[in-house]
Amino acid sequence: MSGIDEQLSEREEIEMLLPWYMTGRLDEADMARVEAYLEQHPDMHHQLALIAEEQTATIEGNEAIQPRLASAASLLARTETSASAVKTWFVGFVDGVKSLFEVPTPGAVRWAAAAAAVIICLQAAAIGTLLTQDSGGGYQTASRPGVEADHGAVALIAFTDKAAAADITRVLADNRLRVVDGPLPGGFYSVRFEDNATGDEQQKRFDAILARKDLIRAVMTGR
Amino acid sequence: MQDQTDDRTLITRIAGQDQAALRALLGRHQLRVYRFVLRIVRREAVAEEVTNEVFLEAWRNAGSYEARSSVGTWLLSIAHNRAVSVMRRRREEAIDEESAGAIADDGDDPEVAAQKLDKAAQMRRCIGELSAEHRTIIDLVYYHEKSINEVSEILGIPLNTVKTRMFYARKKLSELLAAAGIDRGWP
Repeated sequence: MSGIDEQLSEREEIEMLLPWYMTGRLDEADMARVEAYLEQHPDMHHQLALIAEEQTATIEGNEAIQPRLASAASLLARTETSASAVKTWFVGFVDGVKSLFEVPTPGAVRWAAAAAAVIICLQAAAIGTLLTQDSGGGYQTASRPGVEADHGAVALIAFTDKAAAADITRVLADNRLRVVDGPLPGGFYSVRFEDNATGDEQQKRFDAILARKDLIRAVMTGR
Repeated sequence: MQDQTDDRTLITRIAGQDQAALRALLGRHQLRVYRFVLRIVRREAVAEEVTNEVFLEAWRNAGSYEARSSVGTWLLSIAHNRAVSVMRRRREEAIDEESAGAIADDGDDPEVAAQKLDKAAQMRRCIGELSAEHRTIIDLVYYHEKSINEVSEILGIPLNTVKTRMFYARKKLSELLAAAGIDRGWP
């Protein structure tokens, strides 16, 4: 490897390579260069002793860190929810489209149904994106910047594995609820009311949602 | 080499949404990724969240992994980007924390501090006092044992910058130790 800067002395260049020499991560040419220099300049061995101290302290500092085990469980729950929601929607959608073409109907009706299916597909793709997206490639929490302000009652809702995205959208829309974040640990989605419903009205809507046992696995409100 | 091959096999399986492979990848790399992130963000809850984000990104983007670098380096690269992004959002809080740390440290004169801690503990404390940039490169080289090329890839900086940054991180560490009463005879 060539020198970093013509103004740097050979000694400085070698000094810069020493940490990697100590960890055995230099390429062959640099390894040979360092070894040759060390042979001619035994005083440089002092540097190796310092680097060994630094490495020991760094390793000790890192190994003192132990993560909480909940972390892995939470991550796996997220991947399960995400995969399950997309798969359920897709299988349901394909089955639906197939059935349209299996039923004996006039050609015009079949084409109208196909056009409708395309529109539903586009809508569902948008919904699927909402349910599984994460900005920047990872999930974010409800407290992240960018999540809308907390207007009205917020609840956490978990859907059943069999719930299709179109049904989820319909039940939320019927009750004027909107997904504002998720999936969260345990497969929950954070939702809020789009209007200024009274407390009683909100409770009625939660009851209505809970009645949809085919779609809703759990609802958690702040009440 | 075998580990790298196994890691790549896991990534291929993860690209096919194989959760068992993700669990295996977690078992191999989660602790190192978490430690790397925690040393940057310095908050356990944040580090836990960022670590999860790293593996979720791996889960979602496994299909685009090109095997130009080891899986470990790829994960640390994602982790660094995410941790730095979090730190940018929390910059003001981080500055407050660092200021508070500096104020607290002024209370101990070097001799008293030296009596309180042995040399190894002083060294760990001083590494903790380095800037995030310097601390990160020290961790990558000494703990994660990354080569110059790998550090360059993880941090997204030129090879020469890797070398100079490591050099200045070590120099700064010696200065902090000198201020704590430990003269290492260098620089």
